[in-house]
Amino acid sequence: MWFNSFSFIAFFAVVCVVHGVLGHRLRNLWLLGCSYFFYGCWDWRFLGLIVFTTTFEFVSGRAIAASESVKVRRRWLTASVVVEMSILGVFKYLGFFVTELHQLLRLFGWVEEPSWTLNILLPAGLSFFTFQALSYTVDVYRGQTKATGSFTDFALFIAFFPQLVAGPIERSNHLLPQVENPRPPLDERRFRIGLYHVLTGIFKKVVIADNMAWLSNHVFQGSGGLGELNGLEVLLGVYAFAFQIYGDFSGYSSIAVGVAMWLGFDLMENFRRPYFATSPTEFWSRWHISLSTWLRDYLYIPLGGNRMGRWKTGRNLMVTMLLGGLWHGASWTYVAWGGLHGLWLVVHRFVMRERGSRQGWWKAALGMVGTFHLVCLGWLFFRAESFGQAGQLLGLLGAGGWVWTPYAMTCASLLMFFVLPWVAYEAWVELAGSDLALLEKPWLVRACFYGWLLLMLLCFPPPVPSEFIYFQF
Amino acid sequence: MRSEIKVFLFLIVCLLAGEWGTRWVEPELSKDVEHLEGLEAMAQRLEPRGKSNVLVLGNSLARCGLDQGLLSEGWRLPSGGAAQVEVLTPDASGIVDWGQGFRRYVVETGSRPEVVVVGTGRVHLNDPMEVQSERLAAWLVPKDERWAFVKDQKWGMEEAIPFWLASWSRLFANRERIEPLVFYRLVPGYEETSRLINHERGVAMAGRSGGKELGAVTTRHLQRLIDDVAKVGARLVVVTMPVPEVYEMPREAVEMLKANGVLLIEGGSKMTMEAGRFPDGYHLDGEGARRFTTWLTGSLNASFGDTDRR
Repeated sequence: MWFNSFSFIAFFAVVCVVHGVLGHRLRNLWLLGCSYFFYGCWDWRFLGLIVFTTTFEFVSGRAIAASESVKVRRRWLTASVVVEMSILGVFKYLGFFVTELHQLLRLFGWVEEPSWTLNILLPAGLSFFTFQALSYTVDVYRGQTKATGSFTDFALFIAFFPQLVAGPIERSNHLLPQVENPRPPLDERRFRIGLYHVLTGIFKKVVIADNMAWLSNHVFQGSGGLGELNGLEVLLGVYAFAFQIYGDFSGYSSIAVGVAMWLGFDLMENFRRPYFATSPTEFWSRWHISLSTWLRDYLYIPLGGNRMGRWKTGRNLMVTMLLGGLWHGASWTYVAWGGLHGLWLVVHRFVMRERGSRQGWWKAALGMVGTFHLVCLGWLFFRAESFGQAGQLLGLLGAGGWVWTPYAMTCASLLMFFVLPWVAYEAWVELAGSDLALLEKPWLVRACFYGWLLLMLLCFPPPVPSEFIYFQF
Repeated sequence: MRSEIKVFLFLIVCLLAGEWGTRWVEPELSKDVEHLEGLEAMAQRLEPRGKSNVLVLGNSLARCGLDQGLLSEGWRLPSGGAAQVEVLTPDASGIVDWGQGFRRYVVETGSRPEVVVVGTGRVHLNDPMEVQSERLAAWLVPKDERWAFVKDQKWGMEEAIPFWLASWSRLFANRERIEPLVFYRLVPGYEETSRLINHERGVAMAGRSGGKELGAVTTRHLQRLIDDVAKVGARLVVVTMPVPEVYEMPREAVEMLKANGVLLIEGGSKMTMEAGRFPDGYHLDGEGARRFTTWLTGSLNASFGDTDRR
């Protein structure tokens, strides 16, 4: 049940109608039932996994909170980490590592064909809800969150449908109190903000991401083979993918925030115009914020953060980003993507900072263009189906032969048609200094803006609808 | 909420204006719409009996690959007259569209063609099929059969809602035609790129539907078309159209046609053409169409003569 589907609209309408007539406790129960139904629509077989995760972390949290003994508390925390990581390991990484182990052993001639393969189904949104569950136990252990006494509330915190399968990865000290306490009613402000998020989210997904998808797919999975591409086509295909993944993921997050807002919840912002970042460090404060702050708080800082000198800070950054890359999926190209970002963070930290912060608009513009292209280089690895393909595409980029083919002209034109107006709008928001600057404008301005979104949604649907990319993570 | 109500009212006014504007410019939207809008008139031309009427059902393969003039001149029908050829060939249509179009414009109007020719490729007579529910709703499914059609298709909400929206709104029914209209005119290289990418998709889809068995959807609709054609007293001929790659019809389709006494002429496997006859990589050019139609009329005359002799 995709967010941009008619089924979801019907589902959400029923959720809202019943939600509106219930009291707080029954609302939570209703939302929990709806969330399980929502997840069951993806694959009901994995509902048991969510229930198991929920039960185990609920018990762990209670046990940690109830015990005075550091040893006991630590034992429960360790159990929690081991269980969550094992779930992730089995469902997400076991098949990959078994195949890799076979490759390695075959290299030494210790095993022969056929290769070992494990076909394990990946539950939708596994990485999101395991991280969210784990953060709760860690927060309880650290004393940053009070262990909840209500299983229903905790289960809803884990399974709340707007953010269950693709985030934002919420923190217990932010979302859990909203679950436990009565929430604000749907007033004009909440309705207006929710509408803005939902409409812009659907636009980013359907108009930007899906219209870029068929263009980038030509470069990354065209049946003609890479030999027929030239450098300009590869560059434009990578640009198309950069906006596809941004539109896809930030669109999903926006819809999640808007839908939750209408139900009385405030979810965290997951994206803040990331391609306006002027440095790799700033990029990570704007891109997938819920994951980058999760990695910072539960991995980078516990590793020592920047408190242990220059080299260890660099090491911590690299470890964090490599694991962040692996979080996205069991593939070395994701690890390479994380590694590249880690490298840029390290270089930026130690080289650029010594030169002092940038001043002047042209330096900021230069930083923006440079950062965008570094990010695009990362996307090339992220999207490539193998290192071989990534290498070939890089080779084509460097080989010259930049000719304006029909594909290149189409790609450039459609980037300008679909993406440029949105980038211009984001530039205006950036200059206005407020994420919700549009909502402070008169109703006619909003209506015209929404009219444009609606026109584009109706009249410029993608030739081929695509699934949300981040569901697979 | 007052200002948001104004926003909503503004959007509704925009939609109503869009609906009105679409109805106004509809025939200009594409050649396909022009063709679909002309189907009522086509049905009227088919009405008189004894005129050796031939109705061609198909898509762009049949539209480009059959020379109507040559077919009229060269094909001597059993009734003795020269064939009066009419076509129902919406773009990218398949067996579902042809079956429904036949019901709406032939069965329901009382038109009585002498022969119905289905000009098809392999993918248009095989599952899985991409169905354009908007076009079906607005132009092809008979109006009083819409409920039954949706029920019969066993559609979920994702297919049924666009179908109903398109049956009420011309803006919704035509929404996918606006993009090509704008891009084909304004975006350099768009035509070649979309053709290239559609070809890649076609290759991928052919890989998915590469089995020899006919799917359940196709079987149902093909049988219904065979029955409907028999009901109006016409004879059915299925012609597989040449494409650059030689292909054969799904085995079950061949058996089904044989069992129902339908004449099958396999141009897709028997009539090979050099690559130069497919300038866009898929459709025949004028010369290719002339050569294929000449070959086809020869086959038709031979087959119909044989049948008459029998």
